[in-house]
Amino acid sequence: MDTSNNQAELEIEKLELQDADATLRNDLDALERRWSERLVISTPANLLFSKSQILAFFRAGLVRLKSFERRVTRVVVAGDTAVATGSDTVIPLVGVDNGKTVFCSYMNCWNRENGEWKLLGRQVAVVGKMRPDGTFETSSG
Amino acid sequence: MPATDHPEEPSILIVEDDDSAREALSDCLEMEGFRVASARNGKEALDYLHSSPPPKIILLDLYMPVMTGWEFREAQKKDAAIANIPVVVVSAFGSGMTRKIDAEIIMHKPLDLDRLLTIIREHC
Repeated sequence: MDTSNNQAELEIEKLELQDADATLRNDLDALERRWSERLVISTPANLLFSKSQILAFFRAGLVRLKSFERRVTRVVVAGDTAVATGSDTVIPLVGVDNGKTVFCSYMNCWNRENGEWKLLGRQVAVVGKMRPDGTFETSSG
Repeated sequence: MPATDHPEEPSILIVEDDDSAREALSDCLEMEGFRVASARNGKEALDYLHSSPPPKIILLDLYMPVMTGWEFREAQKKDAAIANIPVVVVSAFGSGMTRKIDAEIIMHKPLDLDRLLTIIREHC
Protein backbone atom coordinates (compact mmCIF):
# COMPACT_ATOMS: atom_id res chain seq x y z
CA MET A 1 0.00 0.00 0.00
CA ASP A 2 1.49 3.35 -0.93
CA THR A 3 1.65 6.19 1.57
CA SER A 4 -0.85 8.47 -0.18
CA ASN A 5 -3.40 5.67 -0.29
CA ASN A 6 -2.77 4.91 3.36
CA GLN A 7 -3.36 8.56 4.24
CA ALA A 8 -6.56 8.63 2.21
CA GLU A 9 -7.81 5.49 3.92
CA LEU A 10 -7.16 7.03 7.32
CA GLU A 11 -8.96 10.18 6.18
CA ILE A 12 -11.98 8.19 5.05
CA GLU A 13 -12.04 6.25 8.32
CA LYS A 14 -12.02 9.56 10.18
CA LEU A 15 -14.83 10.90 7.99
CA GLU A 16 -16.84 7.74 8.58
CA LEU A 17 -16.67 8.24 12.34
CA GLN A 18 -17.43 11.96 12.03
CA ASP A 19 -20.45 11.14 9.87
CA ALA A 20 -21.78 8.77 12.54
CA ASP A 21 -21.18 11.38 15.24
CA ALA A 22 -22.93 14.09 13.22
CA THR A 23 -25.87 11.75 12.64
CA LEU A 24 -26.16 11.04 16.36
CA ARG A 25 -26.02 14.75 17.20
CA ASN A 26 -28.43 15.69 14.40
CA ASP A 27 -25.75 18.05 13.13
CA LEU A 28 -27.36 18.73 9.77
CA ASP A 29 -24.81 21.38 8.81
CA ALA A 30 -22.01 18.83 9.10
CA LEU A 31 -23.97 16.19 7.22
CA GLU A 32 -24.90 18.64 4.49
CA ARG A 33 -21.23 19.60 4.06
CA ARG A 34 -20.02 16.01 3.92
CA TRP A 35 -22.71 14.63 1.64
CA SER A 36 -22.56 14.94 -2.13
CA GLU A 37 -25.48 16.67 -3.81
CA ARG A 38 -25.90 13.41 -5.75
CA LEU A 39 -26.01 11.22 -2.64
CA VAL A 40 -28.09 8.03 -2.88
CA ILE A 41 -28.96 6.11 0.28
CA SER A 42 -30.47 2.65 0.05
CA THR A 43 -32.15 2.12 3.41
CA PRO A 44 -33.10 -1.08 5.26
CA ALA A 45 -36.70 -0.18 4.39
CA ASN A 46 -35.76 -0.69 0.73
CA LEU A 47 -36.28 2.96 -0.10
CA LEU A 48 -33.84 5.04 -2.09
CA PHE A 49 -33.32 8.47 -0.59
CA SER A 50 -31.70 11.52 -2.10
CA LYS A 51 -29.75 14.00 0.00
CA SER A 52 -32.70 16.40 0.22
CA GLN A 53 -35.11 13.61 1.12
CA ILE A 54 -33.01 12.24 3.96
CA LEU A 55 -32.30 15.73 5.30
CA ALA A 56 -36.06 16.41 5.23
CA PHE A 57 -36.51 13.29 7.36
CA PHE A 58 -34.01 14.65 9.89
CA ARG A 59 -35.68 18.07 9.91
CA ALA A 60 -39.10 16.50 10.44
CA GLY A 61 -37.76 14.72 13.54
CA LEU A 62 -38.17 11.29 11.97
CA VAL A 63 -34.50 10.40 12.57
CA ARG A 64 -33.48 10.72 16.20
CA LEU A 65 -31.00 8.41 17.85
CA LYS A 66 -30.15 7.70 21.46
CA SER A 67 -26.85 6.11 20.49
CA PHE A 68 -24.86 5.34 17.36
CA GLU A 69 -21.79 3.15 17.46
CA ARG A 70 -19.91 2.67 14.19
CA ARG A 71 -17.14 0.17 13.57
CA VAL A 72 -15.31 0.56 10.29
CA THR A 73 -14.12 -2.82 9.06
CA ARG A 74 -12.46 -1.93 5.76
CA VAL A 75 -11.59 1.08 3.65
CA VAL A 76 -10.40 0.83 0.06
CA VAL A 77 -9.31 3.90 -1.90
CA ALA A 78 -8.86 3.92 -5.68
CA GLY A 79 -8.10 7.35 -7.05
CA ASP A 80 -10.98 9.68 -6.26
CA THR A 81 -13.25 6.86 -5.15
CA ALA A 82 -13.34 5.16 -1.78
CA VAL A 83 -15.42 2.37 -0.34
CA ALA A 84 -15.88 1.82 3.37
CA THR A 85 -17.63 -1.09 5.05
CA GLY A 86 -18.59 -1.62 8.64
CA SER A 87 -21.30 -2.09 11.21
CA ASP A 88 -23.61 0.44 12.79
CA THR A 89 -25.35 -0.20 16.10
CA VAL A 90 -28.06 2.33 16.79
CA ILE A 91 -30.88 2.89 19.27
CA PRO A 92 -33.61 5.01 17.66
CA LEU A 93 -35.75 7.35 19.74
CA VAL A 94 -38.63 7.46 17.24
CA GLY A 95 -40.53 5.11 14.97
CA VAL A 96 -41.28 1.40 15.12
CA ASP A 97 -37.78 0.64 16.42
CA ASN A 98 -37.92 3.20 19.21
CA GLY A 99 -35.84 1.90 22.11
CA LYS A 100 -34.60 -1.19 20.30
CA THR A 101 -30.95 -1.82 19.57
CA VAL A 102 -30.68 -2.15 15.80
CA PHE A 103 -27.64 -3.89 14.35
CA CYS A 104 -26.75 -2.99 10.77
CA SER A 105 -24.05 -3.70 8.25
CA TYR A 106 -23.29 -1.04 5.70
CA MET A 107 -21.24 0.01 2.72
CA ASN A 108 -20.48 3.66 2.03
CA CYS A 109 -19.06 5.08 -1.17
CA TRP A 110 -17.05 8.31 -1.06
CA ASN A 111 -16.10 10.45 -4.00
CA ARG A 112 -13.47 13.21 -4.07
CA GLU A 113 -15.20 16.32 -5.44
CA ASN A 114 -12.99 19.37 -5.98
CA GLY A 115 -10.41 17.91 -3.60
CA GLU A 116 -12.91 17.15 -0.83
CA TRP A 117 -14.27 13.73 0.07
CA LYS A 118 -18.08 13.59 -0.12
CA LEU A 119 -20.39 10.71 0.70
CA LEU A 120 -21.92 9.64 -2.61
CA GLY A 121 -23.61 6.35 -1.80
CA ARG A 122 -24.73 4.37 1.22
CA GLN A 123 -26.32 0.92 1.50
CA VAL A 124 -27.56 -0.24 4.90
CA ALA A 125 -28.96 -3.65 5.87
CA VAL A 126 -30.44 -4.60 9.22
CA VAL A 127 -28.80 -7.71 10.64
CA GLY A 128 -30.89 -7.95 13.81
CA LYS A 129 -32.92 -6.05 16.37
CA MET A 130 -32.82 -6.42 20.15
CA ARG A 131 -35.72 -5.30 22.30
CA PRO A 132 -35.05 -3.34 25.51
CA ASP A 133 -35.58 -6.57 27.50
CA GLY A 134 -32.66 -8.16 25.67
CA THR A 135 -34.63 -10.54 23.45
CA PHE A 136 -34.05 -10.53 19.72
CA GLU A 137 -36.88 -9.55 17.44
CA THR A 138 -35.50 -10.49 14.05
CA SER A 139 -32.25 -11.76 12.74
CA SER A 140 -31.20 -12.39 9.21
CA GLY A 141 -27.52 -12.69 9.72
CA MET B 1 -55.18 -2.19 11.47
CA PRO B 2 -52.59 0.55 11.39
CA ALA B 3 -53.91 3.66 9.74
CA THR B 4 -53.22 7.35 9.66
CA ASP B 5 -54.74 9.76 12.15
CA HIS B 6 -55.72 12.20 9.43
CA PRO B 7 -59.39 13.09 9.51
CA GLU B 8 -59.44 13.33 5.70
CA GLU B 9 -59.84 10.26 3.55
CA PRO B 10 -56.55 8.59 2.63
CA SER B 11 -55.69 8.67 -1.05
CA ILE B 12 -53.02 5.96 -0.85
CA LEU B 13 -53.21 2.50 0.69
CA ILE B 14 -49.88 0.85 1.51
CA VAL B 15 -50.00 -2.93 1.88
CA GLU B 16 -46.71 -4.07 3.38
CA ASP B 17 -45.95 -6.50 6.20
CA ASP B 18 -42.57 -5.06 7.23
CA ASP B 19 -43.26 -2.50 9.95
CA SER B 20 -40.16 -0.41 9.23
CA ALA B 21 -40.73 -0.37 5.48
CA ARG B 22 -44.41 0.47 5.88
CA GLU B 23 -43.72 3.29 8.31
CA ALA B 24 -40.85 4.75 6.28
CA LEU B 25 -42.87 4.76 3.07
CA SER B 26 -45.88 6.22 4.85
CA ASP B 27 -43.72 8.96 6.40
CA CYS B 28 -42.25 9.81 3.01
CA LEU B 29 -45.63 10.09 1.33
CA GLU B 30 -47.14 12.10 4.18
CA MET B 31 -44.20 14.49 4.02
CA GLU B 32 -45.08 14.96 0.36
CA GLY B 33 -48.61 15.93 1.39
CA PHE B 34 -50.50 12.70 0.73
CA ARG B 35 -52.94 11.08 3.12
CA VAL B 36 -52.00 7.46 3.70
CA ALA B 37 -53.63 4.36 5.14
CA SER B 38 -51.78 1.12 5.63
CA ALA B 39 -52.38 -2.58 5.99
CA ARG B 40 -50.04 -5.38 7.04
CA ASN B 41 -51.26 -7.98 4.57
CA GLY B 42 -53.77 -8.59 1.80
CA LYS B 43 -56.59 -9.51 4.16
CA GLU B 44 -56.22 -6.31 6.18
CA ALA B 45 -56.18 -4.41 2.90
CA LEU B 46 -59.43 -6.05 1.73
CA ASP B 47 -61.04 -5.36 5.11
CA TYR B 48 -59.98 -1.73 4.84
CA LEU B 49 -61.28 -1.39 1.28
CA HIS B 50 -64.64 -2.90 2.25
CA SER B 51 -65.11 -0.50 5.14
CA SER B 52 -63.58 2.77 3.92
CA PRO B 53 -63.84 5.12 0.96
CA PRO B 54 -61.62 3.83 -1.85
CA PRO B 55 -58.08 5.19 -2.10
CA LYS B 56 -56.86 6.49 -5.43
CA ILE B 57 -53.99 4.04 -5.59
CA ILE B 58 -52.72 0.92 -3.79
CA LEU B 59 -49.03 0.19 -3.20
CA LEU B 60 -48.79 -3.58 -2.85
CA ASP B 61 -46.01 -5.76 -1.51
CA LEU B 62 -46.14 -9.37 -2.71
CA TYR B 63 -44.67 -11.67 -0.10
CA MET B 64 -46.75 -11.20 3.05
CA PRO B 65 -48.23 -13.48 5.72
CA VAL B 66 -51.97 -14.23 6.01
CA MET B 67 -52.74 -13.10 2.44
CA THR B 68 -50.07 -12.46 -0.17
CA GLY B 69 -50.09 -9.71 -2.75
CA TRP B 70 -50.97 -12.21 -5.50
CA GLU B 71 -53.98 -13.47 -3.48
CA PHE B 72 -55.05 -9.92 -2.70
CA ARG B 73 -54.93 -8.94 -6.35
CA GLU B 74 -57.05 -11.94 -7.40
CA ALA B 75 -59.65 -11.09 -4.75
CA GLN B 76 -59.59 -7.41 -5.68
CA LYS B 77 -60.19 -8.12 -9.37
CA LYS B 78 -63.22 -10.28 -8.52
CA ASP B 79 -64.84 -7.52 -6.47
CA ALA B 80 -66.41 -4.93 -8.76
CA ALA B 81 -66.51 -2.33 -5.99
CA ILE B 82 -62.73 -2.19 -5.68
CA ALA B 83 -61.48 -3.84 -8.88
CA ASN B 84 -60.65 -0.59 -10.65
CA ILE B 85 -58.38 0.91 -8.01
CA PRO B 86 -54.93 1.06 -9.63
CA VAL B 87 -52.28 -1.13 -8.06
CA VAL B 88 -48.55 -0.52 -8.02
CA VAL B 89 -46.69 -3.67 -7.06
CA VAL B 90 -43.58 -3.02 -5.01
CA SER B 91 -41.36 -6.07 -4.79
CA ALA B 92 -37.82 -7.35 -4.60
CA PHE B 93 -38.78 -10.38 -6.70
CA GLY B 94 -37.49 -10.80 -10.23
CA SER B 95 -39.72 -10.78 -13.30
CA GLY B 96 -40.40 -14.53 -13.00
CA MET B 97 -42.47 -13.87 -9.90
CA THR B 98 -43.83 -10.40 -10.61
CA ARG B 99 -45.19 -11.20 -14.07
CA LYS B 100 -47.66 -13.60 -12.43
CA ILE B 101 -49.55 -10.63 -11.05
CA ASP B 102 -51.79 -8.41 -13.12
CA ALA B 103 -50.96 -4.88 -11.98
CA GLU B 104 -50.73 -1.44 -13.58
CA ILE B 105 -47.11 -0.92 -12.61
CA ILE B 106 -44.41 -3.07 -11.08
CA MET B 107 -41.61 -1.35 -9.20
CA HIS B 108 -38.58 -3.12 -7.84
CA LYS B 109 -36.95 -2.63 -4.45
CA PRO B 110 -35.02 -0.64 -3.44
CA LEU B 111 -37.76 1.75 -4.37
CA ASP B 112 -36.95 4.91 -6.29
CA LEU B 113 -39.03 7.46 -4.39
CA ASP B 114 -38.88 10.08 -7.10
CA ARG B 115 -40.27 7.66 -9.67
CA LEU B 116 -42.93 6.45 -7.25
CA LEU B 117 -43.99 10.03 -6.49
CA THR B 118 -44.33 10.72 -10.21
CA ILE B 119 -46.61 7.71 -10.58
CA ILE B 120 -48.65 8.61 -7.51
CA ARG B 121 -49.13 12.20 -8.66
CA GLU B 122 -50.57 10.88 -11.91
CA HIS B 123 -53.31 9.15 -9.91
CA CYS B 124 -53.88 11.41 -6.89
